[in-house]
This record gives sequence, C-alpha cells and structure tokens, in this order.
Amino acid sequence: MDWSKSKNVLIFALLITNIILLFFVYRDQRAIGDGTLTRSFVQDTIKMLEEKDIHIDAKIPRRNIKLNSLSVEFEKKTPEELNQGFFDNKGTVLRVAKDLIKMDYKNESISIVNNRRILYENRRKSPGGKAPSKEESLNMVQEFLRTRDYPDGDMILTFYKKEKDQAFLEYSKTYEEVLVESSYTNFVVDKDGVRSMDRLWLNVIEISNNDIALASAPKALLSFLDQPKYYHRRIETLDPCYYFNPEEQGYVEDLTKARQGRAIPAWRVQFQDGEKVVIDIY
Amino acid sequence: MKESIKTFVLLTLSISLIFLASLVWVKFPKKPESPSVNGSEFSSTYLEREILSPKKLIVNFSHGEHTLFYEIEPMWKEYYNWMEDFLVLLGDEDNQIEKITQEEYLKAQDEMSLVFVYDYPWSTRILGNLLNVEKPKEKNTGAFKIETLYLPVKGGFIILINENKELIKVSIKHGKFQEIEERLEDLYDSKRYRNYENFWEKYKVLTNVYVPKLTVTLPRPVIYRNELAKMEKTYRNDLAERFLGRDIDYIREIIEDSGTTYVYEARNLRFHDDGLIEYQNLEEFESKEENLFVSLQTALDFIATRTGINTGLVLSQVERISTKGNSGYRLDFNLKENDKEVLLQKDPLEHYMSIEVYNQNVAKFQFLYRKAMDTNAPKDPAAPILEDQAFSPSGVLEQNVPMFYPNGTPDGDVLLELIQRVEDVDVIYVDPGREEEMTTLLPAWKIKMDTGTYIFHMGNGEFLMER
Repeated sequence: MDWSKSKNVLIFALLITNIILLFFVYRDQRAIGDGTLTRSFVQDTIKMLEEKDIHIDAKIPRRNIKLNSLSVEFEKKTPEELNQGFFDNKGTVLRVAKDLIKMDYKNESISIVNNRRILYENRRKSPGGKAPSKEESLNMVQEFLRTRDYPDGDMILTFYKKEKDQAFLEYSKTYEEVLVESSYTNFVVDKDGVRSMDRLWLNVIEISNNDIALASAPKALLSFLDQPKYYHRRIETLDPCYYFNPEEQGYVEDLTKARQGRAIPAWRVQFQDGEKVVIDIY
Repeated sequence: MKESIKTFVLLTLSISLIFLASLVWVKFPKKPESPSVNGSEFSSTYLEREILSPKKLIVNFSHGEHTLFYEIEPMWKEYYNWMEDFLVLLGDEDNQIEKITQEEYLKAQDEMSLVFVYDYPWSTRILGNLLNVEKPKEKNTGAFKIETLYLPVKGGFIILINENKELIKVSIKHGKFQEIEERLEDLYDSKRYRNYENFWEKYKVLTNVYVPKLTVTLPRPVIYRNELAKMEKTYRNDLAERFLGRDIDYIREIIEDSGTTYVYEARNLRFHDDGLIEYQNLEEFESKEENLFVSLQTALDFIATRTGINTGLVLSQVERISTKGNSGYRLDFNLKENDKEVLLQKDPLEHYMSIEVYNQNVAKFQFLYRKAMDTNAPKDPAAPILEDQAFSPSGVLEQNVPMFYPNGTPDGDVLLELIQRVEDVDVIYVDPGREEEMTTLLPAWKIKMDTGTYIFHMGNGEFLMER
C-alpha cells in the first residue's frame, strides 16, 4: 500500500470537507449575528442621521458591549462637614426649607438641595480680563478640590469652554474607566479662581456579577431620528456608561428624595455644545 | 512533501473537521430560564377555585337542625360535581321557572338541603366557563346571576336568589344530586357539627339568616405583619423580577427613605416601607370590549404568578372602568384567614388588593402585603376575649340600638325591628391597618342590613365601622 498517496488523497478530501463546513459555520454566524454591527449598517446609520443634519465626529463601536450594573448612592455631606471643609466652621447655617439648607460666609455661600446637590458660589467682584487657559483652570479646580477635601481620583473632565472672562469646566464620575451618569461637578472659573461649583455625585456601593449586553451603538443612535430637538447638531463623543437618574428614569411622582439605586449600562452621547444625552435601550 | 509534514497536515485537518462539525451539528442544551422570572411555578388554579366557591355553605337537615361551614376547600370535588349537575340541569329547555315568596323559601329550609351563599353574584355563564362545564343555554337561564343557590337533596327543583334578591324556583326533571343525601345523613348521624338556627325559627321573622344556636365560637386568633418590612433583599429582588419580568440587573432601582421604586421599560413597581406594593404598566394596549371572564382569569393569573399568592383571597367588588377608549374591570379583593374575610379598618385603602384589568392587559395593581405570622398567635393578653362572653349578632344589635336611631329610640320592640332588617350575618376579622407593623386581628360580626353593612367587635360588642 502506498501510504504517501493515501495521505495525499485524505488531505485533499479533508480539505474539501473543512471548506464546506467553514461555509456552513460562516452562514450560521451571519444569521445569528447582530446585523446592526455590520459596516454597511453603520454607514447607513450615519447617512440617515446626516439627512436630519446630525453629524457624528465620534467613532461608532462595531462590537457588542457588556457591562455589569452598579449599586450606587448619592454623595451626601452634612452641613457641618461642608461648613468645616469650606469655611473652617465659620459659616452661618440656615435651614430654608425641608429640602434646602443654606450656608453663608463673607462673599461665599453654599446651598444643599435635597440633601445631595451642592451649589457653591463666590460673589466676589469679577476681575475682568481674559479667561484663564485650560491648564490654569484645571490647576485652580484641582487646588479648590484639594483644600475642600474632595478626592479627584474618580473625576474626569468631559467638557471645557471659555466665554468672556470665564472658563466652564464639566466633570463626570468614572468607575473603572467607564463614566457614571448622571453625576456631575461643574465649575465656573475666572482669573482669581473658582467662582462657582455645582455638584451632584454618585458613589459606587457594589458591582453586580452579571453582564448586561447593551444595544448596539448604531441602534442607539437611530433613536435620534424621531427627536427633532437633536436635529442640526454635532455628536462629539459616544461612549458606554452607567446610568442612574431617578428623575429621568422614574415614572412615579416625586423621586427627589432618592438616596440610592441601581445604575444600568447605557450609551452616553455628548454634543459639541456640551449637552449630554443618555440612551438606555437594550 | 515530507511524510512527517503530511502526517501533521492530516492531523490538523482532522482536528479542524471535528471542531467545525461540532459547531454545525452539535447543539448544546440551553440553560432553562429561571422559573422565578417567568412565574411558571405559580398557578392560579387554586385561586380560581376559591374565588368561584361560595363564601359559606348552609346545611339544612330538618326544622331546627342546621349547620354552617366557611371552609369549602375540603369538599371542592363534591362541590364541582354538584355544580356540574346543576349547570347541566339548568340548561334543559323544558325547565319551568317561577318566582316564589320568602315564606315558601323559608319553609324549604326544613327539607334536607344545601344552600350555597356567594360573595359575588356570578352568572351561570361565567361559572360554566370557569368550571369548564357545559354552560346552560342562553335563552333559558344563562343570564342568571346567583347570589344564593338552594339544592334540595330529593331533587325536582332548585331555588336561586339572583342579584335583585328575587327568589326563583326552577323545576327540573330529576335532579337527585350525586351523593348529597348519603353525605348529609352521615354528617347528621355523626352529630359532629355546630348547631345553627335561623331568625325565622328564633324570632318568627321572614329572614333566612343563620346564627349559632348555643354559644358563639370565636375565630382562631391571628396576628398580621407587614410582609415587606423585614423582607430580605434577595426576596425583594425576586419579587421585583416576577412583577417586571426581567432579571434584576436590567431593572432600575431607586431607593428612597419611604420605599423602593423599580422601573423596567414602561412598567414600574414600588415597594412602600409600610407594606404597600404598587404596580403600573404604561404600555399602550387595545381593549374595546370588556369581558369579565377573560379579565378575571388574567387578574388571577397575574396575582398568582407575580405575588405567589394562590389562596386566601375573596373578591369583594367588581367595577367596570374605561380609560383612553379601553374598557375593562377593577377587581377588589380582601384577604381571608381561616376561611373568613379580613377587612381593613383604619386604613386609607378599603381593600387589600385592587387590580385594573382590560381583558389580557393588567394596567394597575395595588396590594397591601400583610400576612399572618406563622406562629400560633397568642390571644391578646391585654384584652382577652372569653368564648362564653362573646357577643351574638342579636347581642351586638341590642348593645348598639341607639346607633340605628339617631333621632331617638322609638317605643316597642326595637331589637326585633332591627333583626327584621338583617339580610346576612358573617364572622370576619378586622385588621386595624398598616400604621402598626404588627396587629392582632379583631374577631367581628359583619351584619348586612337594608341600610348598609355594619361591623361589630365580637368580644365587646363595640361598633367598629360601616361598609
């Protein structure tokens, strides 16, 4: 028996069978795959959005994204802690209403809304002149946070703009490099330092064990087509995020007293003018 | 090509063949869906039975010999058979139908017979549908709504009391109901029943209301507890998953000081810390024609699969509702303990459970989740009720005479006058409400009169509320 010849025949037969099987596997994969992740679907999405004058500068991910859900709680600081951190305990605390506490010291004031949102304002005279540069603004914010006992390890700058003599900076929370919405710390800065801070922050309590598959990015973007308020806009970034926003997500009356909950994976779209939109579809 | 290379290629191709073939042909079994999410482990069968069952069964042996049962479940099979026979007989076109007087009906109580009294006047059509037995022909008696059903052992006729309190006698060809006679004779011989008498026998008034002949039996003490207050997070999550039909990781959860809200798509669920569960589905649907049979089945299935409750409910009220051009029903339920209805006393809610259902669509659901504690509840040591000192229905009326005459008690036998106005009497429990996390249920008399339904404490005769 010629073993060499037999091997040749077998190799040839196996090769043909493998090719046929490969074809079936490819066909099955295509059938069960997410059709919205194909190159052509992404191109069609871009075209359809452009017809509504919505332009996308961000890269549209073409893969399935899975994230866990997070158990989060609103950052809560007592008036005493804030008085200590901001005014060295010299501020005057006034309980204006059940959900509003005010604190004053010289030109500065703090309002605590619903026990979770903090509004700081410095009413000093405007120095005029040019707005500080991005680097200067970042340094001023960093210093402001450091001296008032706010860690900045989980903060990421998501928007910056200059207008007249002021710079505007917007930070969001990140958890393992993914943004956690809707948390924010917004600053207005001038040459003399921070003029105001508006902060609503979330802390992560625990992470779930199960992955949640997000709807594909093109599918999420297509939801803009029937919302005229987003027409004639330019999308700057498109990222997966964790989303917890009781007022937006709840269907029930007053959720201003929410203290904790579950943040669900969603898509975060930021327009060129800084507006953020979260799309939470699966 | 070298032989060793050929061997290597051959081996590689063979392995690749096995791998590709497994991808194409071998299908690994899928992990079954968690039953807790789709709720298939809970069935509404028992609930259906219970809702359709009479609230009480009166057994007449002879004049002065009667007994009464609230517990119908052990004789469900017999009840089903009797109802099947009854519905078939009622469908006969040759039946003769006539209205009878109250006196004739009262005299019929002296014959060996069964009397079923219902919470809700079910139509024979719905009973037929739900019991899955042949429904009576429309043109005949299909439209009857039965509040009370009298079945004589000897057969020959049936007496119905419909929702308008009309006494209707239906003569039937034969109608010796299966096994009834034997069973009743056995029960009578055993003497293992509590003796009841009716107001007709006791006071000679034209009222067919049954009360215990000798002493009043107090219902077993029960302590109710707010079931949500101490519920572990795992159980809460499981409950939320059942209501919203999705894994908890996909459900938004918003925790406040007074409760927790869960949101998934257009459905939201709220667990209040005081024990109230509220569910709402804002999805659009279409239901142009209301159908009580379909709506009831949807409601019971929803209750069983979402709350896991498959027994211990009583249907208290049915109301037609409409919204956005859709027609449906609001069904109100109360809880039952030891086969007796429990009513809420000092609570913003009138019923423990309320569901708005439009055929196959449940739009709203509300439930004050209170449950009897597992342990045998001790009698309240602060206010022990002694059985021999418990008030009888006439006793509570006597104690509360002035309540019925706000302009002054008239002369004459006012108690007898009040007794004449009584339409029905039941033993119930009263729950003081959700203000306290744990409450001892009060044993009470529910007395239905021509002017309303009045609830009195069995222990001290005190008037508790009017319904």
